[in-house]
Amino acid sequence: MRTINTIDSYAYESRIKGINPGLKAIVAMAALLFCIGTGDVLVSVSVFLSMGIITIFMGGLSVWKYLALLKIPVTFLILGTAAIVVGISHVPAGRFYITMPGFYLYLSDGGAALAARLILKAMAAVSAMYMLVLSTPASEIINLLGKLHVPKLISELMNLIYRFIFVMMDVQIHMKQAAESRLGYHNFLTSCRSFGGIGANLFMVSLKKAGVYYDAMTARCYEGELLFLEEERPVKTKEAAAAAGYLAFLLLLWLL
Amino acid sequence: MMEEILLQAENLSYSYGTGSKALHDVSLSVRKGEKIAVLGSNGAGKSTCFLNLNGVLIPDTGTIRYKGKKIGKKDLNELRREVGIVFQDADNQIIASTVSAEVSFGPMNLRLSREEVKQRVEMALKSMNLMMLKDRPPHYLSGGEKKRVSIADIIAMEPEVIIFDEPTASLDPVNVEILTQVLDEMTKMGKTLLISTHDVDFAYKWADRAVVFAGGTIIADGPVTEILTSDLILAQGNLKKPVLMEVYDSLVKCRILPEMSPYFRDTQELNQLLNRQYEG
Repeated sequence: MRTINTIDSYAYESRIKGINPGLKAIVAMAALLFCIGTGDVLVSVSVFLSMGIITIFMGGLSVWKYLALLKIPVTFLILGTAAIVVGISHVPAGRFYITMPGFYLYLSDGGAALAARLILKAMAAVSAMYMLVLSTPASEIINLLGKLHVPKLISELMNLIYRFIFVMMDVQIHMKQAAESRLGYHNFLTSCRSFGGIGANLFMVSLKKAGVYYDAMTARCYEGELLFLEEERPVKTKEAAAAAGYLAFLLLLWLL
Repeated sequence: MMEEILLQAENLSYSYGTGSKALHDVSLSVRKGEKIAVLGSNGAGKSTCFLNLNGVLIPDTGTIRYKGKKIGKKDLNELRREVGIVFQDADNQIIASTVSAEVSFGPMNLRLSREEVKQRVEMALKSMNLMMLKDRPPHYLSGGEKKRVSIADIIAMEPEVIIFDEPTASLDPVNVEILTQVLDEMTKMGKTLLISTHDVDFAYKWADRAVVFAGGTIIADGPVTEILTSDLILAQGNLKKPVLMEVYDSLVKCRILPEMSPYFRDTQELNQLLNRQYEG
């Protein structure tokens, strides 16, 4: 059995998977809105740290895996904020500057502070979302959307797409292996050709699979509505109190 | 005593729109509690016939009866409820993102009460030994586990007749053994089973009756030993004689067993036969 190390697989292993997904979503969304809405450094730092602690200590995700996941947005943030930090001027300016032919690249005081605040805010928001997705399987998030009256068509499509991502990935992996074993990837040109061939084949396979799936669903009395039994995860008083306490703490932090 | 006829196909013909007939004049009746092996080479029409028997495909001509009642357009769901199909490739059947949600799909479609669905899902999961995996997503399961999920899918719907499309094709010997036990249990529960397979050894060991497809029609139908001893049928159906039958022939030829000895279906029966012959 092949284990795919994805956010999805971490969610299934999380120790806080059993907590009501609605509650987790409320906490994550509220924390996220707080960070973005207030822009307060203290709030950002405390959300970032507390969400990390929840994910790692309560959820049981290894620190290294968590940091590896955080690396992805950090890369984007550094590239994105570079433009804010660095200014261009015709005259020497700022605390530190580099002379270029015809202009100066400089670092401004305000820019650096702004960039730091921005990075903190974004990382806090990301950690709040990570807390949710690293502890809640996709199917539960989709169910939640259904309860929020997202149109059935969309939530059903999401359910099917989620399942098919893995089915298609499996097919693609096998086709790629088969191509590799026949030297399909030994240089750039053959790689391009193999990649194109696999893409075209995947499309045909998808069409065929769609037909077979439809037959299999019809065989089980499918009548146009995807129905599954949903696991009930009642909100425990203790958990609700902890969530309320946490949000109150963030509010206080901002007010003071 | 003959049991009542559950499922009956009369002169079925079906074509996939491309002109060539996938099924041609197929007639078959299935009695309650029967264990039928459906044999035939690839493309002989077994799967198409199954989809017709379950009401997914509508025959061009011919009729299907369930318990004597002719199935019209309005009765298709009744047919689908009573006749379940376990598809060959579990990955083509599993649609939900957790095992328990997957097994609940059929019963939910039957519009049963929540309690009833829950109870059936639990029963099906237990009987396929899947309780440990019930919250897992299907894409993290092994091939054998997926197969078990696809069988639990159908068990939860509690059909009278269960059709297996080549269940042994993708299973290792241990999983085939488990499957055989499951099949025996289903027979004890009074279910009627149809299994298509290329594995004549499995068919010989398990089935009472064999139906042979070739070129979109049924060329032979009868007790499994009769079918598998006929060289003509085997040749027409692109089949091979089961190994145990070859052994039987050799033993009779070498006069180790007398002619007209009963056929043995597994090594245990062979040992009993030999013991009786040489000790008694």
